[in-house]
Amino acid sequence: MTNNSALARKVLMGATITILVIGILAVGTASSFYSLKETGSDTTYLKGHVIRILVGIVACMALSTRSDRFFKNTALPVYILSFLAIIATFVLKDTQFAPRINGSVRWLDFGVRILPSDFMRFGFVLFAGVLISKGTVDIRKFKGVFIIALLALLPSLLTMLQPDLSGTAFTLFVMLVVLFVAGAKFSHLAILIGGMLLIGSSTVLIRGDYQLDRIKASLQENTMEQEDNYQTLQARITLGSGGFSGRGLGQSRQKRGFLPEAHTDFILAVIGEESGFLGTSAVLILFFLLFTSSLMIARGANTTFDAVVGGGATAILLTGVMIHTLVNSGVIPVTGMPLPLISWGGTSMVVNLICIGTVLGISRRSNT
Amino acid sequence: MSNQPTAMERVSARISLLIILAGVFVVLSISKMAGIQVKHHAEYMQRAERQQSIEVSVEARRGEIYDINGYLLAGNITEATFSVYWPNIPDDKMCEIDTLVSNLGTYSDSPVPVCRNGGNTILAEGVPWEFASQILDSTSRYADYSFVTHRVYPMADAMAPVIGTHNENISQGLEYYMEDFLEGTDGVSHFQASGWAGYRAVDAAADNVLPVHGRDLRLTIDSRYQEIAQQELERAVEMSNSNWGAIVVIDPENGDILTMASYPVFNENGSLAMNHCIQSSTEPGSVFKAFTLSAALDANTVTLADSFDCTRSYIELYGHRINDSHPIGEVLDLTGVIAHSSNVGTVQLASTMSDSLFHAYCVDFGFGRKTRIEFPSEQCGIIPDVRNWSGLSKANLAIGQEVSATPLQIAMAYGAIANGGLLYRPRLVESTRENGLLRPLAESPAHRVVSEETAAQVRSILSAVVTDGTGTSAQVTGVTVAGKTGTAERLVQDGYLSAFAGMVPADNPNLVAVVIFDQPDYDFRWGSALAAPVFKHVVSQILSTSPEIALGTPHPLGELVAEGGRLCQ
Repeated sequence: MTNNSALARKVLMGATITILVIGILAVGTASSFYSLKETGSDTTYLKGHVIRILVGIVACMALSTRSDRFFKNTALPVYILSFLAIIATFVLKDTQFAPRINGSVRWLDFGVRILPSDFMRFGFVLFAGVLISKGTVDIRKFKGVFIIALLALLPSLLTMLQPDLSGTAFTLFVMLVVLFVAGAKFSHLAILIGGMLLIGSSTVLIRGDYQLDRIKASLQENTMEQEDNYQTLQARITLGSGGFSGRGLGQSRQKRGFLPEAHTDFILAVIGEESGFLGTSAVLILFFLLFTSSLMIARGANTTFDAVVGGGATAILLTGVMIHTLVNSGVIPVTGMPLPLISWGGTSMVVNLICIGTVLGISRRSNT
Repeated sequence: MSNQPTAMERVSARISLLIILAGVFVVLSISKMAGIQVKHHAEYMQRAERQQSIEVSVEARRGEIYDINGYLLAGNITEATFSVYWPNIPDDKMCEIDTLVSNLGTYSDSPVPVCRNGGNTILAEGVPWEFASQILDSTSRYADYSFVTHRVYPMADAMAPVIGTHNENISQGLEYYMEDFLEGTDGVSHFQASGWAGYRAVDAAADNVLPVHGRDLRLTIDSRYQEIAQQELERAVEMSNSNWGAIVVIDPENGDILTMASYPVFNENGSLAMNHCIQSSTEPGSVFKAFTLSAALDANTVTLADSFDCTRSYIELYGHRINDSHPIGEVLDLTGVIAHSSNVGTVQLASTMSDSLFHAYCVDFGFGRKTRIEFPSEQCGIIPDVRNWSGLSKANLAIGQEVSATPLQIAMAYGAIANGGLLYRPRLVESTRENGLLRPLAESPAHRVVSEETAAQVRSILSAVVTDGTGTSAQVTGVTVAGKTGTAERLVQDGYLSAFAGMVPADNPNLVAVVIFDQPDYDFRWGSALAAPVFKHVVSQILSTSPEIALGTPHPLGELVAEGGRLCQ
């Protein structure tokens, strides 16, 4: 058990560092052309990316030595603060502090731009862990499941109004993984999922806004040139033109203004263009090693709190990778989702490294 | 507390399940990637190429055309057009457009500052290439520019009958005939495109091909003579109200065409008219008598001493009368028959030859077949097949009827008389030039038609035409002229033909010129009244341009010494 845990810890750290290095290379090449056009220097975005990684690593290392007491104590404040931050996006809507970007108000900008829902998910994982481990809620009963679900559903309702469909889906998926790991009954989960689907689909139908169009667009494979599907097509062209072994590092052509958001929402495609199928497979396998080692640490935890938090923290990473991969390969409609630990994007990078740090902390505690 | 181990076990099992699910997801994702990146690679690569690579055709320069002295007759001029597409131009870049307009100066009509409108605005057109390329470096990349190359003809209408014309729709004349030499092969350049306007770079790795420029031509034409001939022709056609006129001037020593003037230059609808020197055949009339004479002398069926009875002004053949246009009323010797252009005498002259012999000489002189000059739509004229001749045919042919010929054919045949009996294939293109190297085209092949002796005899009789006969109006001061007038009352077509074919100097010609007017007014119907004086004017001006034609090469007179002497008695 101890040996396994030590191995898992090493694999987790190794995979994380390797992925971060790949991310630096990928952001460097993917952002160069856009950076040059927008800022006059081809490394502006790369520099910011490295700084955020350093901030994230400091946070990661600091959290990895904290006791579970610390996490239990900070759970409620983190959850409430990030909830308030989400509310603030509505209060400050369309001001310089909460700018509308691509039709959606989801960021707070106080010099540094943060995405409150990123923090909220981590806060939810911690707070759910506290409630479940203390026995405050009985996860084997539907009431308990419903209370935990409500912790995620309330902020999700707000993020859906921002509108941030992908962030909302992200949160709900993390919630389901947390309930699943904590041991909720499958029947309760099925009712919950059924209810969410019912409410979700009726909301989309009633509002009939752009999200519906996007979903429709993804269903119409033959009308690739449509505006809504332009990004999907470009992502596919980017991946497809990479072939088996890619064009070579730095040789992406799609980053020259054809593929939008090349250094954030479509970075996996750029990796695929430059390093081919070999590159995308390597990245996905590295992530699999990261998830497996992380989940093995959670499985080997001494306490329910650690196990639930470890599973939830991994779920945050897993969900990010999943949505990004599905969007890049054109399986689901285009939605802005950075690739964890790789894409340019501050809040996501820091929160993901906090998750890694938390899991590393769990592994340290389970060893002693 | 009794639930705790059970809960932990459950959590552990659930996490194991989650690991498996993560594995399934990764496996599915990798297989999806394999589908996109490996299986459909070619298809997406093609789409990528289509949007990432821009193929631009690099226009090959069309060959230029020069005259024998190196003067440009047909060239190219490249001009730039500057324009802007306003939707591409951010507000903060407007000043760059203003700067461009200022740089364009008088080439642009746009006001500064430039007014923005919805679509496309042309800032300047027809900007010379040299100027445009100077300001290109400082030109905003938000402005668009394009280059267009036009064909230019410095001598314009005066050279149009020779050069023809070339534009994107049509090629005519020499421009058409020499298309394969003149047109190059366009090259191809590839650019790496980007999704944003203005960002593009040459793709050095792509299959870029340099254009192969067209070959330049140096013609045998002397543009000075062409100018003289075209001007005289225009004046005479207008004065005589002729249907058309043509002047061919050749160098008899090699068959080089020095001038091919034709008027009118344009049809009534404004299109380029045919070059009548090559593309019109007509009954030559009396100028053809020189060939009847040559044939009979060469075949020894007559001698200079023979005499011909022209006391009656007509001759009857098979119930037909052939008249002399001016009744002569004497017995003439051979020289007299030609000098006075007696039809009666010439018919007798021809009757000394068999049909087939005379026919063979006519064919040998190049009639009835193309000269194969480098020019499209050449007419071959008509010499009736000897098997189809009527009893009158030989007589008609002898005086230039029942036969048709182009002015060029007549000029080449007179060239043979001038040079001692050799018929050359005419040459219009002297050499081609590629990469600065001139490659002369093969000298025109020649074949002997009559002996040198015959040619000399004919020349001396033809000089008598000009000194004593019908051609006195073709005399040129300062040089001896041999030639023959022609007045055809045409059998096939209506109206008359006024012609003169001649050579200078008479004893050793360096230049042959044929002048023909189709259907002049009645007063100008005689060759001596219209064609001969035009010959005189043209040749005299050519001689003042190039005295060596009459006088031979200048003599070296010795070195100039520093101190001049004084003439004293």
